Amino acid sequence: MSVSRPSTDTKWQQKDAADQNFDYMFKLLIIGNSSVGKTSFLFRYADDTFTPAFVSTVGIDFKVKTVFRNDKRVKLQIWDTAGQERYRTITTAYYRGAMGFILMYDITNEDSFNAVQDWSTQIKTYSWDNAQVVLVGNKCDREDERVVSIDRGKQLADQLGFPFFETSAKDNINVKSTFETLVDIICEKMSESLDSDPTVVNPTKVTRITERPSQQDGSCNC
Amino acid sequence: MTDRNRKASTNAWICPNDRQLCLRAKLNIGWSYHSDSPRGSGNELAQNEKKQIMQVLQKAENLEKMEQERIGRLVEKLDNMKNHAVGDGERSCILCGVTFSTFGTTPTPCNDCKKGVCSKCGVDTYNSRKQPLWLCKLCSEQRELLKRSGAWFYKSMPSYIMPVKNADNLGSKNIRSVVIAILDLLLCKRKYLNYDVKILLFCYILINIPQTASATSSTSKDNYGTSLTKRPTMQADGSSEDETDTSLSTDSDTDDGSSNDDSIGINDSVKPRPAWASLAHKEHSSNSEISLKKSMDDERNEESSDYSSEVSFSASKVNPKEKAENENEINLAFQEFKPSQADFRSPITENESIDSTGNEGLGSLDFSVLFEPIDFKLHVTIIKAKNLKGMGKHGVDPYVKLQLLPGSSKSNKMRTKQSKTCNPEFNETLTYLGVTKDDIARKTLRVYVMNHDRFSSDTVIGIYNLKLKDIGDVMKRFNDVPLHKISQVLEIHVNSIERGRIEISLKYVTATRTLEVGIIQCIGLKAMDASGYSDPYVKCYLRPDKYKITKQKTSVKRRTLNPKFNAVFKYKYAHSELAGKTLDIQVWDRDIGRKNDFIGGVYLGKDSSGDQLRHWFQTLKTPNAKFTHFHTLTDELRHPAE
Repeated sequence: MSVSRPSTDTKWQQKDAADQNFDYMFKLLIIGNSSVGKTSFLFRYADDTFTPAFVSTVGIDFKVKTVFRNDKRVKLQIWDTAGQERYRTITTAYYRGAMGFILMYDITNEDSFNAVQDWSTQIKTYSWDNAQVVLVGNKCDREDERVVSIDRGKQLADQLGFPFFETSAKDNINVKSTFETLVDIICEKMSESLDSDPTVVNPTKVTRITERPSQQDGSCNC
Repeated sequence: MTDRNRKASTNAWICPNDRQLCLRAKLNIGWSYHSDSPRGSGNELAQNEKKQIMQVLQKAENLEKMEQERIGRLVEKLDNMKNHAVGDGERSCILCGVTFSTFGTTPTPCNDCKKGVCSKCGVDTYNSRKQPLWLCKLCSEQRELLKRSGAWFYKSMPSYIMPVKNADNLGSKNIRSVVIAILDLLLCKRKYLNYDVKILLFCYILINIPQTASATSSTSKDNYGTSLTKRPTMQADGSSEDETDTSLSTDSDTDDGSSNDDSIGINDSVKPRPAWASLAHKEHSSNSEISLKKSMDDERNEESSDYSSEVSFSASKVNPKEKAENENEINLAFQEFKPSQADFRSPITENESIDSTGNEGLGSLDFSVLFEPIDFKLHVTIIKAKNLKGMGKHGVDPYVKLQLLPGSSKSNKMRTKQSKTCNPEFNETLTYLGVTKDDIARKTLRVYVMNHDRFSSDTVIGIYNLKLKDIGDVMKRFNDVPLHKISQVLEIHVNSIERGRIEISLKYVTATRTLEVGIIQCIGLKAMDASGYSDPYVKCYLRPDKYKITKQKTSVKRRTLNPKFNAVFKYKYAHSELAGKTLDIQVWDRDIGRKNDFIGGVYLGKDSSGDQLRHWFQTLKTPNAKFTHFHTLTDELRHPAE
């Protein structure tokens, strides 16, 4: 009975529906050198589109996508950062909120691969300790221009302790599985963290603040 | 360098804050990192870049706000659960409060809080290492909150915004609620009404001690930081007097603008308070003994026209600056006070019909609705009702009944538990199964607030109709919806053609070359017997079937319109043979002593259409996979006589 949504549903309701119908919200961040294909990667995943033209990202941008994984609806807020050095102060500010990172290099660009170590240090410096990282070698469709072998990528990923994928945003290779892996390891981390200390935070304590504040002095005229 | 710094920003001279210093130390690149790096024009963002980034940040902020509101709702839900937990966790179940005994209910300690819970209030689950885990519903909900809010990751609760309307309920466990309960009791008992004004006045003052202490002179809404609730504070000065007058004027619906922002604060913060208190409040703020008596006399002896005269007076007094900006809030405020006013009046003018005030005065209801299209479920959570009009001589014993219209009456009614006050809190979720999008587009949810009568049949206090097509598939909360009289609502035509719905699962198993037809349940069958129920059973054929060798039947389920069969019929046929067959599923009403009645049927095969066809092809196309679907029964009977 595939009845289309009644037309009386107003705009905000639809927006609401798209936004609120989920179980968990994960914030992810894509980082890596300029022009490795971060934005293309995100567009391929979120909109399933690809444009070969290179447009440098201004500062920071994000897209939202809800996925169904492990019987849960997970809303992903995926931040796409500018690789250029000049935006670095803006982009690093968003490391703190991110639960997962996609650290990307370009397999046809030696420099971008060499920078992975530095990016990893950046993550360690600015992010939460339990943030999860996936290493991604993008543009694997350009086999003839390859300068970083898949083995070197794997080796580095092992060394850093990250899962590793070679992907292509252009040919849609491994894009989805990269995000799915990241979501899976975050979910895993989540259930682990609850087992180790389920009462790590007590939300009711915070709730108490909603009681009326006491510093207000009485100005009633009775 | 100094020149450049001065140009770049004035902050260049200010020592970096601790966090910056800490981060710089971590980076291991020395203290000169910032000051030596070029801060001049080369690195500055262009105007359009800034604009673009700001847009993104704005977008992110909106998202963040929605997220905070979502977390707020989750926190509220948990708080509500906590507030309704009645047991001590030792001798009685921490949640439902049922007393433990050796032979009756036995306690199982929750793995998290170690308190005893009964088997109904606990959840059996697993941890990440697949070890079994027994949690009370509170701890399970708490874990869920940690996961859903992201607190598990950030190691503390992220900031959130509580739903504004319900902010006051949080602090309900204080003296205020006790006093309010006393007031309610007095109101219910009626007989104290005529003389114990002083007690009420005293009670009222008690209620308002916290508010007056926190009252501010002009700000009606303070936002205490991002993590705090927007909470209107109350004013106890002259302007609130206007409000009280206005609120008493139920006869004029058009004076929306004559209330001011502060009045909303009053309504908000003292909303469970019956109208008596608001009357007392008027006294309290105006400090006038005489006007107390006068208004008491007014209430007792005179007609409602007096109120309208008061309104016109007060309206002129309102400072235009203080006019409310948010009309919705005003409307809410009105809805809240209108019933209470009638509630207040009814005992005094006992024989006076309140028909003149239209729908008002019956009370109001808070509930929420959530439709889950994937599971075909419609959850209706009845939260509470307010200021219900008292019926009968025994006070009120209200409960809430739901009905989906159009539909047969007996099959889709559900009800909550009974309460005993005019302001009952139910917090009960009733779930309709097998609700399709088609239903949502077409049907109306009717909420009856009923009054249980021990000595005669129950009466309807008021009803509220909700067109389901308006709800979408997100949780919708309805606060303070006014109840209507049953006669005033357009009767929805009950569609007698509706025969109900059947949930069928189909699976073709290649290993055994068997088609498995699962008859799971029927929903909302048509009533065939005089009792308003049917005694349904399901028959199944695989046509063409000249000799009826494929006939299979379920057992008969007595006196129900929502039978659960959970029966599986097996047909051993080759995959290629099945393509030409049609599955004929019929629902019958068993009658003893006369012919059984046909309730409805459904055909699945290549000649059927729509969902039936799709379901059939899905099954054949993907063997070894189970497909479950609801089908609407039709009155078509292709092979009638047996």
